[in-house]
Amino acid sequence: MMNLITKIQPLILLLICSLFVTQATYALPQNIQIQEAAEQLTLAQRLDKESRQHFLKANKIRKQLKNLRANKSKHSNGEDDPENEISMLVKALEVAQQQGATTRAQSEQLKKAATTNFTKGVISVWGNWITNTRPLTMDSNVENFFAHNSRVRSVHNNMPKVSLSDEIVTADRNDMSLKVPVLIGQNAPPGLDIGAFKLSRQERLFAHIEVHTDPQIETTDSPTQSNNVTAVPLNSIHQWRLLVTDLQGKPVENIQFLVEGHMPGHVHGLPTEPRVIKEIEPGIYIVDGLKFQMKGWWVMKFIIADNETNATDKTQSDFFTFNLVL
Amino acid sequence: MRCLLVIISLTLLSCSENSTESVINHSTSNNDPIYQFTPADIRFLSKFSLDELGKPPKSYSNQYANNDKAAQFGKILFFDKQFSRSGVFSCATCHQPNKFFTDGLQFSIAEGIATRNSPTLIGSAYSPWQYWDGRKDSLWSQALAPIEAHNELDTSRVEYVRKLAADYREIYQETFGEKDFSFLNLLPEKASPIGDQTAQKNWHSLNKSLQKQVNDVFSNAGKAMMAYQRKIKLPKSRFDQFIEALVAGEKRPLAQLMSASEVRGLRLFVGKANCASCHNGPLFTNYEFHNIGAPDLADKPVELGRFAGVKALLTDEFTCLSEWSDANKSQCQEMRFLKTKGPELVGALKTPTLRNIANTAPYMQFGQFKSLRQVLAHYNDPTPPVYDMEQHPSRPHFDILPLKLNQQELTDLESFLGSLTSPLPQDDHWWGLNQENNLKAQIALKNL
Repeated sequence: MMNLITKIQPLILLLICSLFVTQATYALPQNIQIQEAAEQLTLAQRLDKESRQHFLKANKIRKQLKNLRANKSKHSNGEDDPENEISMLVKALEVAQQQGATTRAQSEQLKKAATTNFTKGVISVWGNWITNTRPLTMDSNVENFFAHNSRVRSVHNNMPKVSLSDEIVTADRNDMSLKVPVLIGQNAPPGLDIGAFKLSRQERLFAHIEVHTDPQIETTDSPTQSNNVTAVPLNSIHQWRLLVTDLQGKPVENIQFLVEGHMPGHVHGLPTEPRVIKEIEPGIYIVDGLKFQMKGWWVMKFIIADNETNATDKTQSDFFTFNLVL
Repeated sequence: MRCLLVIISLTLLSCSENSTESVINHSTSNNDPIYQFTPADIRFLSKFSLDELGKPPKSYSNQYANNDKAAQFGKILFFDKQFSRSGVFSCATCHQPNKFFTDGLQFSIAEGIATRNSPTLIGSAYSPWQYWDGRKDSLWSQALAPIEAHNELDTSRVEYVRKLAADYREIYQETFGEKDFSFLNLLPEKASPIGDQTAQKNWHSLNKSLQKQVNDVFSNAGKAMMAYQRKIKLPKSRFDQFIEALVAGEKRPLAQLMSASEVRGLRLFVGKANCASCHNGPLFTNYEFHNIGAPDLADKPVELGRFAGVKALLTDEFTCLSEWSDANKSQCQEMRFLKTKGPELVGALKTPTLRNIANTAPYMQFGQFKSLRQVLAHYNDPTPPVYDMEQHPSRPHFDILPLKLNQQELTDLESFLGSLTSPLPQDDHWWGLNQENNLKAQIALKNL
């Protein structure tokens, strides 16, 4: 296995170098980054598979060890002293775990690099449709406190229950004498990817989201709407553009989406039922009916309705998950 | 003694020494630290002031929403008792101006007894949804429901339109344009798709064109009443004056505007009592739906709240998406993307405004609580809603946690809520407080 790592190392170096090269030479064919990203992703997926094999192996060794130790205690006076075998296995376990962890880390790093490259490639190919490459935000002048502040549980099944203390935690603001409660459970975990570019869960597609202003629709007189292209308005229904490409950077047409959203730290989903209303260009979808009634950590999920599987069968479908910290 | 006070206040001041912005001292008589607010405090509090309210949101479904003539006509319709079956009741029976457009009863009484407590009309123009469960998506559509409800005005839409044509034909035409009312001759005495059996039978025997003519006039009456309700403005309460003084950095003693107990209550309200998490903005409401677990009534169906409201909206005949709306369908965003499912809908009711709340008892959708003290006691130690598997579609949501405030804190909160009462604007003719003025306005309009 060490062989593989040593084999890969120059490749990684090469990839890292190529990142700089592509940045410097924009005259290259536009989709070179996408090609690279696809290669990085393939490699990352292979490494991921490999790391899983290491961990499986480690599990197997762990079982063997358990059996050996159990036997040892049963026949403590036996002649075959398994001590040697045990120490060999312990070493092997360490190696397997180490290799698993290393390959997983490499895989994750490569996936990140792939996403970065996909992002760059998609931006250069789809520049006309991408006006915002930064994470979506809400304007900083929107008061953080004007939100309901339930401290009960998340509606999302996968989320751990928020543990509650009896004390209401107040915002530690040294410029205020008012003890305004903080919005518990709204803080995204550190290091969370809040980018507006995402690979799908099954890593088959790539997508980008941004706020869309339909020139045909009279803008509602929302005081929170701003000219900031990254800004999601507070409490007003608006649209997003959802751009979807395959791993070659080609638009993916005629996708049926199911749109879901919720606040992980809260007791509610979205206040509306947004949906994709049209595909204005191949691969460019308009999501309408989006509304966020408070700042905080939101999760938006675009589930792809597979023609073969049922749209509502979420276990089978591929999907995009975007984390937003508004 | 004075020395001791100085020392105490100095100690308290030094506690906030790490402030990045200095405390504004409004007046020498405001030395009590409770009256000391930082610029950030003031910015935060000013979001609750009536000065921040602005105009009601644009109405796409009602082209007459900002029409003055429609508003005047709406006011007449609102107060006219001739539109009730017995001739005794009007909209103003349950929404009395001198009670801030409530009636002080647990359940309103008109032709029958209502099933919910009458909410105030103040601020309703700012809400995307009407009724406790939000089962109407506009004020004009809402205004039509009590007319036909058997326990409210109990007048079928055909009877309503006939009375309107008899008494207010000219005003109607001046407001909504020429109208040939001869179709009335083809109508039965009473007819409505939601009335009693006779009314329903009669309605279904009418052809579509006749039904449309009736609904045109009927919905315009609603639109006029909506235009009227958008005119109801609140004068500033003591709280607003207090904020005004803070913002302007006035030197007048703040204690004359709000007592120490009220200010302590204000600090609790936006602080650990957590009220402002839903009761925020100039109207002290976010107009969202939450289940705070106000107790259900024995022998009555459980409160399904927004769950039932959404169901009603989906079949409502006068929504923004309907034939009688002036909006093009793409403008009906709230209806097009209506949230129809989710556990948070069950038992959830619209956050009411807290403006004038001390003067609008009893409280909650069934008037379960007779006093603010009872309301606060509920929030302080609430009982979660009881899950009735037979009636609830899923376990009702429960959106609050015990506050565990002490008696003094509850008293302070209650005092603060008292500062949100505005004076009744006797000279504002839209309020209709002065009956003589009302009559004059009515006669003047009739003689136009």
